Amino acid sequence: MGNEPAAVAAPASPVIARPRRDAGRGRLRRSPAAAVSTAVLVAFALGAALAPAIRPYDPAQMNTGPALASPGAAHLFGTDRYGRDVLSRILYGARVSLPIGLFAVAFSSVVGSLLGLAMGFFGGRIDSVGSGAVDIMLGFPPIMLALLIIAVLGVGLPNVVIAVGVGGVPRFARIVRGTTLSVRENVYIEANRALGAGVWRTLFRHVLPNVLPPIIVLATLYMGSAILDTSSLGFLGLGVQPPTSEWGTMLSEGREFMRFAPWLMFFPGVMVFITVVAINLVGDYLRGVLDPRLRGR
Amino acid sequence: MATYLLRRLLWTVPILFAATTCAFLILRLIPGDPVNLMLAGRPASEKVRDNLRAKLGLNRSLPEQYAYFVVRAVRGDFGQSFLTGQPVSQVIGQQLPASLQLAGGGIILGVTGGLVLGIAAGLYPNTLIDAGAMTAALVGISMPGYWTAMLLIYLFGLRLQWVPIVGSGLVALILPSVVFGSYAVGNLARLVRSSILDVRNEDYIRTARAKGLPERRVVLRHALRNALFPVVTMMGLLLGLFIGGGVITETVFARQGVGALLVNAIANKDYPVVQALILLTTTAYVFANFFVDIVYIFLDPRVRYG
Repeated sequence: MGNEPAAVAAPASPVIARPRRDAGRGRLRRSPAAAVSTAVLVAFALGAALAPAIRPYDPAQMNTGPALASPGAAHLFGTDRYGRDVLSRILYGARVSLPIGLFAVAFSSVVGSLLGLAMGFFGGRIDSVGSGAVDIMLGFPPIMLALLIIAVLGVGLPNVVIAVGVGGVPRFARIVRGTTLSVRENVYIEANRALGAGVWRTLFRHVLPNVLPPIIVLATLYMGSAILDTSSLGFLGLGVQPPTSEWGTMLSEGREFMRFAPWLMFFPGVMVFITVVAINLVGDYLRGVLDPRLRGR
Repeated sequence: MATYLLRRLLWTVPILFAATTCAFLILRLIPGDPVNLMLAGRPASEKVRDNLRAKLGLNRSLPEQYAYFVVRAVRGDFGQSFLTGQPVSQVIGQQLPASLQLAGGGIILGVTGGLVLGIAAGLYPNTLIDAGAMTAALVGISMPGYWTAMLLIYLFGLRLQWVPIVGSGLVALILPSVVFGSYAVGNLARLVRSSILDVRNEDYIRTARAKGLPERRVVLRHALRNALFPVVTMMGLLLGLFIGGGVITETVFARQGVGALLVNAIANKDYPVVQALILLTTTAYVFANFFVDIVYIFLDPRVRYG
């Protein structure tokens, strides 16, 4: 746990320029790392979605072969102590690990962005109370926040999503607040209000689209750490509970057999690693495209 | 400067207050009766239960309980562990030295590694050196800490047998420190690189160049001063995170320490220990950040007016 994306905490540029569509596409072709990463993520997502169709064995089926069989033709990634097929379990694990990361980031970004929008747009007391709350939340070490929530809510899948998601809320709130503050001052917002548009219409039709780029960048970069954090909780036994196959839980099971069956801890770890690298590369790329300040570096 | 520091110090109060409240509420928010947890399934008469309830202070009103909790917490009294019956302060005190050793080792390795990679990349931007350093940083950021730990244990402990995989002492501290520090290396390298590149075009750098200083000296003497900010921040963060970072590292290496204690306490619903650790972690984190701010003042005279 705790690969807190320190780079993410840097305030996003308040200058928001909507990138030209074609410009973005051209850049993606020029950024092979981001293109490959996107392909990898799509492949993983497809693997997760199609797992029931392409899995070699039922992931819960014991004795599909000898227990702790090393990787080979019958079992590409070997088998675990109950003779379950590791490849099938990894495929099904993706159906848990990837969505948890997505849901956790969705939680942080939606709650955090709404908070940040309200604070930046309305100002006044909403802003001062909100900023205080954000600072207090940032005062807690992120893992502490997650463990605290688990301690109160108990272990289990939805609780993991909340535990990891809450830690991201103040980070989104702070950046969205800052961006909203500068967007609010634009002439088109004033013109829009002068034309008689309501507060909510202005907020969601005109302010929100302009604060989206930093939200997208932060969401991508935060997803990497959300996946790391959820798998860490699984590893600690505080996340998804066995027999559900989840990458972190599989790693923690594999740890016991490190000496005799190192593949048990190798393959799930590789999956987490590749996923997070790919997400980080896409995030770096998006930051380059959406954050003009960093262009050309 | 004094007012700034005072304001900064005052700001720690609401955070610590929030932490205290969280710690207090945790025993009241959990489903079920804390007395049942304390008894851990052992049968007990109503009288014994009432005594326990009085001991925990649960028979008083909530504000009273809160005041009682705060007063005791200030004195370092967090009651007794549900699990062992030992005083909580003693339980934590036993685990603290191991965690601090780990944090020390991690900070040394993490900051050294991050600085070396970051400076190398910042000195030679857009070269192979830069690409190599940034790839290493990306790997550092993206590796799950527990997986790094397992791979290291497998390679150096089981295959090569260079280091013992359990035990205490300096040699056994190496691999855990690498894992604890790897958290910092990637982030720090990226921050150091970009803060060196950020000031490349500042006036004082141009002046240094105009004086005829060699480029390497310009970067190391002048641009690097700017890069010290992320270093200090990261050191403060690591110092404050010694419990958080320890959670994973101590568990994988089966080390003693407060991180492992916390996971164990949460899994076993040993709430007095959880309460005390929440307060300890948050306080450490808050004050680490506070000292980081003080160091900033010395690093950059401009901050004084902030």
